[in-house]
Amino acid sequence: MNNGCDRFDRETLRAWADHAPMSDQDRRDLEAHVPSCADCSQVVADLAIYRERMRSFGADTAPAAMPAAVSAAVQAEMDRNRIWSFPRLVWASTAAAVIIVLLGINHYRNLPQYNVQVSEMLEPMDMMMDEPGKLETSDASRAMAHIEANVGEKTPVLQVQSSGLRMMAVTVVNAKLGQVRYDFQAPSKKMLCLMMYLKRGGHLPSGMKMTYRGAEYQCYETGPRAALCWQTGDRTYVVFSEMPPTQLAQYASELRKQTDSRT
Amino acid sequence: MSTDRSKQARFDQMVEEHGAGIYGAALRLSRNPDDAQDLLQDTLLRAFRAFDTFAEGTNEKAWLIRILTNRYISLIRKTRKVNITGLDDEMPAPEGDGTIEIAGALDEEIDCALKSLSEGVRLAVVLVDLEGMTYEEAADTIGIPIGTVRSRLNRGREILKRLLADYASNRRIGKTESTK
Repeated sequence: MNNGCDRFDRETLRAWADHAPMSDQDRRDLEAHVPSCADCSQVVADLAIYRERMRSFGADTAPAAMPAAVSAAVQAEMDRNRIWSFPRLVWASTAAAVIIVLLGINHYRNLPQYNVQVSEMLEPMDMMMDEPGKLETSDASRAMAHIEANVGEKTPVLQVQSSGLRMMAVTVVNAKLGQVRYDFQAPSKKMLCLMMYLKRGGHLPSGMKMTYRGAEYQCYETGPRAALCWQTGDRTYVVFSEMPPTQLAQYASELRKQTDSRT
Repeated sequence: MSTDRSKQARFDQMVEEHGAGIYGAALRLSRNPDDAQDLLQDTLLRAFRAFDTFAEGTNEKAWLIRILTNRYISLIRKTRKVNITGLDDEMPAPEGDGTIEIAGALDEEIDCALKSLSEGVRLAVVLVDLEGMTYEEAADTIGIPIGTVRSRLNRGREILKRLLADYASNRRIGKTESTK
């Protein structure tokens, strides 16, 4: 207990003086009792002196700064963190890119062998156009030799009447989009039709240009299930993919109109 | 990047402001300059790593002291295999009230008296009486109930009071003998 007073012990008195959590009832009792009790007041006063002294404890010898060694170590760690913070993003992106590339390579390797490399292709076939307004034909057998896995025996190279517009050399490729490289040649120009990396239903932006073997090709139209249409000089080539004949005819008609308007 | 920079700048500012104070607390806790430096460094590195969790408006020094105390508790648990939550009975509270001699106590006497306290009791005294934490903050930091903080603090104060009274008495005796 507390000296002569046995109402509150010193722990309770000190806790009250320290504003420690206690019940409202205890607090009220202490507030009512302590001012009128010399013994309890003395405990509280002693505590005040104690706190004052403890607050000043070590003030004379308190460090003015952190030790230099600690500052240096902490700074070094923070610098390391700063150095790592950006590369973490870069490395994560790079790692993701590498994974994507590796997956892509793996995917590419797993593609059927009919995905003929351009460099392995035979000399491009000629695409004959005898005179305007007649059918243009491409060499189906040679075409199929290139893309035999893609074009079944019952899927002939389609011939589309140009109706005097000298507009089309068309073939149907029953391969999945993105798996075909098909090379053929017009009388005057080589043309490469790349049906690469097109997703089903995808579009290419009209006006896209590309260059192959020194010749420039421009895509001026695409359809949701068509692959690529190329204008080379005065000729337009179109490669369709998995397009039903009726749709192809309709598409050819539209294409003809567009070609008309351009010429 | 800019967030990282501002985070680092903010942390730099905090260390600049409270580093010395935290070092003082580390000294009081570890009672050894070498240990205090290790403790301080460990504390600041952990604080930096955890700085993302620091809520603006929080008492910075209290936040750092809390990390410091947690590190200290972890370290002494590792090295001394002691249970901080069960240390309040290590040293019995002294009987008798004694006269408060603390006002005139020397720093080295207080330091010596603090060192004589058990870890659990000393933690409570250091956090509340030296670092100015409330009972709630100290309880939260040490991980013990508020009532335990209260009893440990009271026990520590009683021990300190008696020890400092003894030191003062010895000083008086020494002074008297030297003047004879």
